[in-house]
Amino acid sequence: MSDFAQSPSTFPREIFETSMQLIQEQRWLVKMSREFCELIGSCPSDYHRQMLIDLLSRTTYVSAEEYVDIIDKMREQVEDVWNLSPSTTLFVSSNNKHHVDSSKEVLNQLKSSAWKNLSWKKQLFQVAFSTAIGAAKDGHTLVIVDDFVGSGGSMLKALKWLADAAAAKGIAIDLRVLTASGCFEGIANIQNAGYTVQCMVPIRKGLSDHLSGQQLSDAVVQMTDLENALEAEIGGKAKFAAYRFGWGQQEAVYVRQGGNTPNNVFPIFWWRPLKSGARHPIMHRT
Amino acid sequence: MRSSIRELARVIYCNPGKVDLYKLHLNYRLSPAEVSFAARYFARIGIADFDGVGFVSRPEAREWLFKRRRRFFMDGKRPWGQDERHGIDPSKPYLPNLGKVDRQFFYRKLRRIEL
Repeated sequence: MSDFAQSPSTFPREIFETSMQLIQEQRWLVKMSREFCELIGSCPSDYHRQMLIDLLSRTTYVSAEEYVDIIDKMREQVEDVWNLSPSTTLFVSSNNKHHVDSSKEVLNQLKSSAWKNLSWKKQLFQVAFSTAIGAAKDGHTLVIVDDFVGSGGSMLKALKWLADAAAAKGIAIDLRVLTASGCFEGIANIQNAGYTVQCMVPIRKGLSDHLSGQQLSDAVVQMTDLENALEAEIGGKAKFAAYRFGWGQQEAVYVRQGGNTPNNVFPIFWWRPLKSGARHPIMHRT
Repeated sequence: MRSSIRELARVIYCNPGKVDLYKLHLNYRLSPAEVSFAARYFARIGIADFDGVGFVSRPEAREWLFKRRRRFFMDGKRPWGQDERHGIDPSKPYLPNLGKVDRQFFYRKLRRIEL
């Protein structure tokens, strides 16, 4: 985050004015002035610049305050819509690894939200699949909690692992997915697999779901140009190809205040390490 | 006060009415966010209308600025003239220049010698 007052170069009037309009709509960009100017300034043409400005104008930005509301809506979903009972429900974060992850962060915030029923104890919120399955009994509902669902691939693997483990234990459990945000395609993939999913902030694809015909073809070519330039700067060390147009080609444009940008977002917005040092990306991802 | 606000104040004072914000960008390379910040400052005060791109100062703007001319136009401070006005970039590794470190600092501090 920076507060640089000057841009590295001047922009044409049209780009300047659409940038001003963008900043008016996407207030989070005010604090990313330096990064924004660097990004726009690095584009090879005004067409590329305009494409990025249009794309950024479709960004779903979730402020810290809005995020608290989203967590509360997740609680309402469990208590009031799904009508789940604390005696037969368990939660588990979608990341089954030992390291910290945003799904564990959401799980902790969900645990700490204002539950109407006082029986939603911390013991119902698990961070490892094995302990969640160990605590589950026949007929229980196991809700997998996540911060962001991208293509749905990881979530489907988690669901399969849990379904297999429950079958091995000889119990039948109702597996559901509750996520703060996610890509439409990923959510649909999980629903198509037969699971109940609730996503509080669904995200449309930044290009394919907003453009069509020649406009879409042009935008795809322009983004490919920018990603080619980025790949050249990276030096080919990372497996960049998998991240083109976002992991799983999800074309997401999503930022959460204080959160970790998902890899389903276009890498031009978050990729940081270069062979010559580091970029100043407009979105933060560790 | 940010120099962007000062420069926009000067433009408002000299050319009342519609202001071409793009000229601020061309003349001083002020970023769109910085120009937007300055424009919103005067819109919030109530002496201009700003819709995100178009900026029009109100008739009372000139008099308002004249009453506050010391604050806007006569401040001797020049923060933009300092070499390290942006400070240290927190995203980059920091290695202090040991040659510039006062190695007697703590010694004098402990012995209450005038720093």
